[in-house]
Amino acid sequence: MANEVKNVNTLTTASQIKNINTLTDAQNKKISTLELTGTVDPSTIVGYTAVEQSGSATTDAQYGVNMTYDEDNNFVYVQYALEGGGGGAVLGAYNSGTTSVDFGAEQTVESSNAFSGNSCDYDKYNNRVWSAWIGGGDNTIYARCGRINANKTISWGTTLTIQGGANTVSGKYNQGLLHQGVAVDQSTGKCLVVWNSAADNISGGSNHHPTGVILTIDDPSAGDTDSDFCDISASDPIRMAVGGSGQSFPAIKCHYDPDNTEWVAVTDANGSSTGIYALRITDSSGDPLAANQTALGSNTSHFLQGDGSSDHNASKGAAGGRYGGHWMVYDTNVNRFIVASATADGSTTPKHFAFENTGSGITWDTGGQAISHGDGISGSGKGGTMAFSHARGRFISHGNTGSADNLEIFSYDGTDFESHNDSSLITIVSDSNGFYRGGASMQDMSAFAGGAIMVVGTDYDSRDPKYIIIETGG
Amino acid sequence: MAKIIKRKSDNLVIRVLADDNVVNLTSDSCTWNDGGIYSQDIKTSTHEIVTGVTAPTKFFSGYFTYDTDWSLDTSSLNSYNTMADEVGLPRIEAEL
Repeated sequence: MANEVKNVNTLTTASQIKNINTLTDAQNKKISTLELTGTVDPSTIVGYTAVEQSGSATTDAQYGVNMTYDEDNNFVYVQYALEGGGGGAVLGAYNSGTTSVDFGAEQTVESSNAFSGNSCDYDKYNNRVWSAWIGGGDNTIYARCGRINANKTISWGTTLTIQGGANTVSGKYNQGLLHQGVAVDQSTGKCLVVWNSAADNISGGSNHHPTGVILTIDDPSAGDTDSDFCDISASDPIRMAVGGSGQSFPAIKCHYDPDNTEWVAVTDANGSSTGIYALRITDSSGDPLAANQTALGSNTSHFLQGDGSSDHNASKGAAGGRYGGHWMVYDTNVNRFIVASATADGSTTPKHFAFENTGSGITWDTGGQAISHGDGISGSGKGGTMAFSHARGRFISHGNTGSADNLEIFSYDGTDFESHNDSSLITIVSDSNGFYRGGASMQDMSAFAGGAIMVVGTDYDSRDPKYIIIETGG
Repeated sequence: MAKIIKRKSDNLVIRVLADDNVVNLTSDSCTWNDGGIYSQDIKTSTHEIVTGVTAPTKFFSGYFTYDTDWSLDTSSLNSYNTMADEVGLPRIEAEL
């Protein structure tokens, strides 16, 4: 809802009142029953649209699409698995005249094999983009760093092998990089990658402990024509959490915490138990160091991807469970992380939960906010994502009802959640599998489209990447 | 018939394209789809274009080699698809 309060006493809310007591306008939601904070209504700026390459809809995105935002060029960066093998990316600028994104030519990130679990983040410290994926002939974890150029091209450095798959670790064919496995420390330009490493096995061919490495650019000053341009190196791989009988097929996803200049991850690995856990990850002399792994309490029916009785068996998810994109956003308005749950009992409605990283510990708010949008989960086209609007201090998630993919807008004030459109959900597409396994920018993209945010997803039937641009209101 | 882009060192086929697809392979890079797709990793020193090739039934880059005939690395393909089945990803389909 738009702002309904025009004046307080004789002062206008638009220009003369910045705070009431110590609360900013974003924290004061209403005066009496009148909406105060909203100055822009929620709306769909760009509806369900194909990602393009040089003006033509791309036919790629075999199994997942992801994105980040380059504030230096005011471009979105969208990456996806290419039809016929390999991975590619396009850069796009918002065109307010046509209310669409003008994409450049498709750049290959990887020429062959899979490009699954693909994760990415923009590095404002070095003005580079980082990408990681599962590929090669044996499910190897790769990473690459590149510089985005003003003409919508990318100058890539050499691809780094983080961890070889089955050809390196015999019989260990599965490594879980899960669409939010990359986050850049914006104060140093170092990049954390988290995944399930084949080199740190729990049991069998596919069950591995969550692991992390920190990547660095060897010589940030190297130019395009230098042989070491954008070459990167990895720290030692370090176990971030302990999988086991509680969840033998664990998951881990990460995000940067700008207030504490360190990383935070969520995982469901905790030895003989499972649930939703958050942990701090710091840079310890170049290696990642996990600390303060802390469980969400009082919510025994909520998990990240399943209850542990049968791997990733959740049937409902606030952001798609195992088949979703981003599970976590950082709300810079209140300095809290918000994480999406998944439930496995067939009846419990998934929720969003908030936690705070104090820099020395994790504190959960166990209240949570149940979602009203679709909660379908499946490997054949159902699984949403989360995104945060830095411009409005609101976040979104979306999911499938079985016949439509709907988007819901939320905010959190540090104590309470609010859904801003649970009775008027935004329908992304009326399709049972039209917008899954996607992502959104973890970087502030306020300048891109007047404060609106872009979200990407995959149409399962065509395997094509799609995008929307949403004004969350606020 | 088709044209293919393949790596010289091991005959790994990167792309199978229609004969009339406009490919520009240079010492610095390669474009195909008439400039719509760009790769800085494919260049004349490492890759070559072969024309007049009969395409395989279902191609997916990384699993096929071509010298004078096609070969499919079913071991690697099966390794990927085993993982795909476990985590709910669509399988990669490739067939000679």
